Amino acid sequence: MTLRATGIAVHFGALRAVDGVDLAVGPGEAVGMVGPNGSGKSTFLNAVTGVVTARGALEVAGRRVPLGRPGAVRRAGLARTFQTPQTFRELTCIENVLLADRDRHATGLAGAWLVRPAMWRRERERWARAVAALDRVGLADRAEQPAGLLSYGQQRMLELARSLAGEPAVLVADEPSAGLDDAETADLARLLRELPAQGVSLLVVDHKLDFIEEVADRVVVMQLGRVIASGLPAEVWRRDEVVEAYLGRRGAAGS
Amino acid sequence: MPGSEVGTAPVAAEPAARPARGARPPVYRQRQLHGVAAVAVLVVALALGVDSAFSYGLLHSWLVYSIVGLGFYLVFSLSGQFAFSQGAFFGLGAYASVWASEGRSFAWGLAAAVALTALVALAFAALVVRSDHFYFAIATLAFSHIALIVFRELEWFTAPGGEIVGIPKPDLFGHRFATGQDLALFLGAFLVAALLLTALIERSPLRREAVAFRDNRQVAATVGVPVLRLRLGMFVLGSTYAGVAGCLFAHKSGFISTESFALELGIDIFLIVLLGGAGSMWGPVLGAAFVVWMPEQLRFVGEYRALIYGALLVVVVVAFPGGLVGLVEAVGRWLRRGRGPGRPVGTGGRA
Repeated sequence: MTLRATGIAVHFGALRAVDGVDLAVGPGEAVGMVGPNGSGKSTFLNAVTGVVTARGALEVAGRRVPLGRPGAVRRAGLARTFQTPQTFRELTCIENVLLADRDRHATGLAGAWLVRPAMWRRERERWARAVAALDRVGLADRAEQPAGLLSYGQQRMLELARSLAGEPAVLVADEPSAGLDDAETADLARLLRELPAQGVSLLVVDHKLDFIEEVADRVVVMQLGRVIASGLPAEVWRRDEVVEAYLGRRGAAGS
Repeated sequence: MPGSEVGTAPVAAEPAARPARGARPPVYRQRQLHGVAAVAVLVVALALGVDSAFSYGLLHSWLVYSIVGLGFYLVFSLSGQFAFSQGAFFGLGAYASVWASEGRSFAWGLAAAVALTALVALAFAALVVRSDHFYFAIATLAFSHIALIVFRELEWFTAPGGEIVGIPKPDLFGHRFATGQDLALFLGAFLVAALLLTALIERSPLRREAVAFRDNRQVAATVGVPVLRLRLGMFVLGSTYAGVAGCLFAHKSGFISTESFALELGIDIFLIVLLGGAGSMWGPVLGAAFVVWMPEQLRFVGEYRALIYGALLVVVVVAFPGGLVGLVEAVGRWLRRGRGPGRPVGTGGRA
């Protein structure tokens, strides 16, 4: 399994935001995660990416990774995007992407002071990869502009480019289509659909069901911190417990 | 903070940049090294041109405070750590140097100042590694107070009451830099070295990682930036600059007491960086010049000096949020106006 989370639990005081969730994403698989607001989707993502304290066990690309350590999770091969795009506004777009490059040789003080020729050589290679990553999301012509000048949709794309530049084994995307218009959402879906074939597994949380259906092979439905259903998108939507939990009112009105 | 103009200025789209052989990634196209050379020329010109002992005194102070400010630029401006400890490390460097160079060459003192400030800074940063933002600021404040007490009480290391007089002027390879001019050139060499080391950081991947860490630690960590190493490293580095400056301060003044390193110094260091312009490595150099030179120019107003100086600080900070560097840049843009499009604004404060 590229990503295997077992018994993930996050408690905020008495509130069990995530209450023992098991989830596995296979190689080249794209899994969608849906659920009503407050069902614990984002908290689950925060738990597996090490941003909040959680209990449970986590495996990325076959390796055990300690929970609560964002750097360790990243090194193991998991990259993420955030619900609101998190770019570094004062850095240029290309610098944003360069941050994520897996080749970290000569990025520290030694690179700055002692081994500058090696640093330049590495940096040129990193630069070429970063331009390619920006090109992939259509931002190559913005490479040297501060990220703060980008539109909301472009910031999302930049964040995605940054995540992919790290050559992750699995990409975790938290509501990637939020705030995008139809054309941008279509571009995003096309980009995400290409990833599994390129060896990047996908875990996508989103509210737009048609978007999830387009991107994901399999869907997991969460409610009140637990997984209540899992299966093929078209089939899962029809299950009673899902209709009740996720589309409660419409289900009730339709029956 | 740098880039306060971000989001307001339209920037012409540049064509996609492909790295050609020999081409340099954008971050290396800045002109910091020209700036370092310019400061070197300026220091030599001032050292040769100034004639009174009083002016040499101001020049020496400017050189020393620029180095402390530059260290604080690394800690505060570049990596976003609210530290009031810079003054304490300045003091630690001073006492360590006097202690280690007694009866020996200045080089011993310098080595001790570097080693001791780096070690203490590392130990302190590791101890408070879990406190962030205001809690970190309070911890550094406490550290400053403790340091002052240690300077006063630890007599075998400092002196009774922390007061030391008759510190010899610095010497190197048998030459003692005793005249105002010699001393200015000597201190100037240290400032140029400090600027060069800082410029090399500015022109390296370390800069973007520090900025990412400063602007959002959590996201930086999830992207893969080694936040812990950056945090400790930048703090130790900037504090060591302060240690070196403290060592120079002790030997150029010939006299130190704990009062030289009280909290007021920590505030002055903040002023040097903010007033000069926190977004640029040149900010501390300009800020130190202002803080050293301006109060002396206001002597003629007599008892109202503090009042007018304070008012002037407020005016500068309010009118030029980018600091004196921002002012210089604005003047530069104004001069270039009419000569075609200038450099795009909002490029992250890399003057």
